Amino acid sequence: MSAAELLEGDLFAAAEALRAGDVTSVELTRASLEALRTHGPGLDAIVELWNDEALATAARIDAERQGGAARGPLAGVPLAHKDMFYRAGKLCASGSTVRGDFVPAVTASVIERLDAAGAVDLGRLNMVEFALGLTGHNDITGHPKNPWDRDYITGGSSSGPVASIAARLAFAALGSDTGGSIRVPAACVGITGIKPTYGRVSRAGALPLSHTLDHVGPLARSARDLALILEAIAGPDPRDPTAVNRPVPPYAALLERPLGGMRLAVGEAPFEVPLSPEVAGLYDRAVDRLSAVDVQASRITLPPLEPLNALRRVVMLAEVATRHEDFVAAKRDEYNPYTLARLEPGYEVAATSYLRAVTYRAEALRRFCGEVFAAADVLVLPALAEPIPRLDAAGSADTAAYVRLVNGMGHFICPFNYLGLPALTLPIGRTQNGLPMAIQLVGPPFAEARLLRLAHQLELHADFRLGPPPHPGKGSAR
Amino acid sequence: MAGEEREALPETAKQQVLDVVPLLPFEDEPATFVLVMLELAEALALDDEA
Repeated sequence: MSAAELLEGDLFAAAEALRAGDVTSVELTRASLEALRTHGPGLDAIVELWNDEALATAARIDAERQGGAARGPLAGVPLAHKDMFYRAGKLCASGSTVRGDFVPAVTASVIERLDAAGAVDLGRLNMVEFALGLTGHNDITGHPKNPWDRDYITGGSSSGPVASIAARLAFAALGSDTGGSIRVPAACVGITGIKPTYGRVSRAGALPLSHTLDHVGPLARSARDLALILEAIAGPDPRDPTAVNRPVPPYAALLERPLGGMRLAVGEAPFEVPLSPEVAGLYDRAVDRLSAVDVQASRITLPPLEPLNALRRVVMLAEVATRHEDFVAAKRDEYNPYTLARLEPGYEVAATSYLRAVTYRAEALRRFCGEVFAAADVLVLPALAEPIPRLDAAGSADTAAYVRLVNGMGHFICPFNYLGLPALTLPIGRTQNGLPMAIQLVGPPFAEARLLRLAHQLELHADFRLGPPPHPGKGSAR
Repeated sequence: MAGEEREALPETAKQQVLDVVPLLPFEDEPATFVLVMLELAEALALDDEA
């Protein structure tokens, strides 16, 4: 199979082909660079490609492999990441002009770990300004386009990564998730993404947005790809005291462990935010397909999610406003107006409200887990309530409309940032507009292996996956 | 601080903040979040990683 053909599949298969000597890292890297260069601009997915450095790294990995050096499964696999992970000496603008000239002196811990694993870094991918937005819009760097139909949003804030992965331009990427920025865009383009447990993956060297809620995690086209990347990046880090000193399971090796009647708590209607009829239909059919794997599913009424969303909003607003206070003072005119409109309400959050919301997080977690996971291993619930909106219908000029839209989009997603629980989205089909729809799996703290194992089995046996868009890379599906 | 230069906030955004200030318990010695995470992981997910 050629490198270009391998790029149509998942990272796991490409890694196997590399290990078997069926393809070289240089060939795979060249294929992904060429695809990104050809089709990335039309999707507004790319900020910068590091062509020469990437090919040099690939050649070094190939030489090491030929010399018999044992490397891990990611050795020689090309990746490209959201433009918010620092690499010493390289620009990192995070979707802004405010930090358009920012060159970090340090490299993010997760990037160092991927480097050590032998992954090839292709460059920087587009994102929402400062990761503060759920639709994917960015007036400064361009609105990334959904590869299923360019007239629709990619979701955000990891917008460039998901467009590139869905369009088969890149295998996988790192993203961040403070209020759904991995899971929502993954859902919008028909790929998969996991927000790990708070403390599972270091945030050192990743652009901070809201330190209580920020999570770093992978985006890819299969659960087994997520497992490979998570295994490489997870674990304690002296540079991030919130990264927990807890062993990292061999996620990829655990994928094939039998589910053994895994107990699923499946959220059922009525929901606080009702599903549209066609999303409800897809969700119900997906729930029916759970029986294709060895699980015991029980329907439950979800605990109230809106109080958790409200608490998350208080924490996020206060932390985002604080984080940006100096930047806003110095460079207010360089911000997207709607970014300012999203962060400035944070100046009105009382310190007492913020502290209560942060402090209550532990008790909220204890209560939620007691209610949901006392009799279940995994919670299954919708990812989104409505079909993916069009770019022009989800514009940011009207702040009130935007707030209503993203509160709806984040309803099932954002509680797990506040609770810090691991959560994964994977595709279940397409709505009448041709755009993907997804479901969400949530586990107790540090149950990533369980979520990945279940997602892997659902991909294989319950058709929880989508193929490529009809015209991958070309941008328009219809 | 750019407070003096700020424009009026959109009403919905402001209301969103003001409406959600909860009257939550605030313990003298609240358990830290990460400790609760680890405690729950031991109770609910330990067998998953072996």
